[in-house]
Amino acid sequence: MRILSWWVFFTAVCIWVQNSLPGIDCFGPALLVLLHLQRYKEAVWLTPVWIVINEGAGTLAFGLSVLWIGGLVLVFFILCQYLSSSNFAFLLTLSVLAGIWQLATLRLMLTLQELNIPADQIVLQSIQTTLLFPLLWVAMLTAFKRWGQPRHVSP
Amino acid sequence: MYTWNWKTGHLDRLARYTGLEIVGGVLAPGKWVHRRAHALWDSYIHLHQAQEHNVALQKEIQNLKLEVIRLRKEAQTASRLRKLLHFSPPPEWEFQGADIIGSRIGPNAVLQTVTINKGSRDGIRQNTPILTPDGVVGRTNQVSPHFSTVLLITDPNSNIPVRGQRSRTNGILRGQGLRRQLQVKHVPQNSPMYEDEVLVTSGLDGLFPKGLPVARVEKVTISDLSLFKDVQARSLVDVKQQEEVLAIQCTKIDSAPVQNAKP
Repeated sequence: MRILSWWVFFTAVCIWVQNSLPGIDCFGPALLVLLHLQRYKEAVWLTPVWIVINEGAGTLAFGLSVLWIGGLVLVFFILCQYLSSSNFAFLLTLSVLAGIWQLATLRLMLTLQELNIPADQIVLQSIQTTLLFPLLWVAMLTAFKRWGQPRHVSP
Repeated sequence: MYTWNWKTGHLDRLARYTGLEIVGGVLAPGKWVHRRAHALWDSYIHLHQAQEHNVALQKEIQNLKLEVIRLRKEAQTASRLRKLLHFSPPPEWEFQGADIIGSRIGPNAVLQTVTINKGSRDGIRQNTPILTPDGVVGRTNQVSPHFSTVLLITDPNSNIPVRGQRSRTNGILRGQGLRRQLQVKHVPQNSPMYEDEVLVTSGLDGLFPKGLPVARVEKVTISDLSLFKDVQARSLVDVKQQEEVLAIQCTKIDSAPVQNAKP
C-alpha cells in the first residue's frame, strides 16, 4: 500500500513537471532508473500506465509513447552490454541517444500523420531532452532509493 | 497496431478516456487551490473593497465586450442583407466558461494546445470553438468526459477561414507557431486587404460562427512571384495570459443566407 501511494504521488509530481516544462518526458527516465535498480516487476506494471498518460495528454495518434519507451529500453539494454549502468559515460551516452531517438520518433509520427510542425521546435525539444535527461536520472535515482524502496520484511 | 488504431481509433479513445482524465484530475485540484489562494489574497488581504469592485467591473466589461462583438456582427450583417428577403435569422450562441488547467504535457504534445476543464459531459464536442471576449483562441482537439485539449490558432495545423472586417476579402488564417505571426493565405492580388483591419471568422468551414474576431492584419505585401498577397496578422488573444476561456455551442450556423432568399 505504501509503495502504491508512492507511485501515485510520483506520477502526479511527474505530470506537474511535464506541465511546467512542455515537451519533457519524466516517465522514460523513471522507467530506465527502475531497470537500472533491477526492479523489473514495478517497471512492467508502471509502463502501460505511464504510456497511457502520455498518449492521453498528447496530441498525436496512439503509438509515439510505445515507440519512444520501447526504443529507450532497447538502447538501455544494448548500452548495458558495453558499459556499467552506474558509469557516468553510460548516462551521457544514454542522454544523447535519448535525444536522437526522440527526434527520430517525432519526425516519423509527424510524417505518418501529415502534421506540419516547425523543425526547430522538434530539434529544440530533443536538445531539451538530452540536457535534462541526466538531471532527471540523478533526481529519480535519489528519490527512488530514499522514498520509493519497498520495505523488506525479514522472515 | 498503429494502422489498426488509425482505422478504428480504439486506442486513441482509450488513451483519452484514461490518460487525459488522469492528467486533468491531477492538474485541476492544484489549479483550483492556486486560484482560490490568489482570489483570497486579492479579495481579503490586498485592498478588500477595491479589489472586489474591480472584479465585478472586469466581469461587466467582459460581458459588454461579448455584447459588442455580437451587436457589431449583427449590424454589419443586417446592412448587407437588408436588400435580400427572408434571410435566415442569426443563430443563438451559448457560451460556457472553462478554466485553462494546463498547456502542452509530455513528449507527445507537439501541437500548440492548452487543456481545459470541460469535456463531453459538459456538451463539448471535437472542434468546438473556444474564445475569450477579445477573440478566438482555437478549437477543441481531443475531448474526454471531463477535460479537453484546445488546438490554438497559432499552431501551424490550424486553418480558419476568415474575412477582413472592412475589406470583406476572404482568406485562410494559418498559424506558424507560438510567438510567431499568423499568415493569411489565398488572398488574391487584386482584392483589398488593409493593414490594421480586424479579421473575423467567415463561417465557411461550418465550425466557427460568422463574425468572431480572430486577428489583426499587421503587414500586407504584394509578391511578384505569387498570385496571392502575403498577409501577416497577429492574434488578438495572448493565450499565455489567459486563465479562463469560453466554449461556444451553436446549434445552427448562418453560413448560407442567400440560398434561402426568394428571388
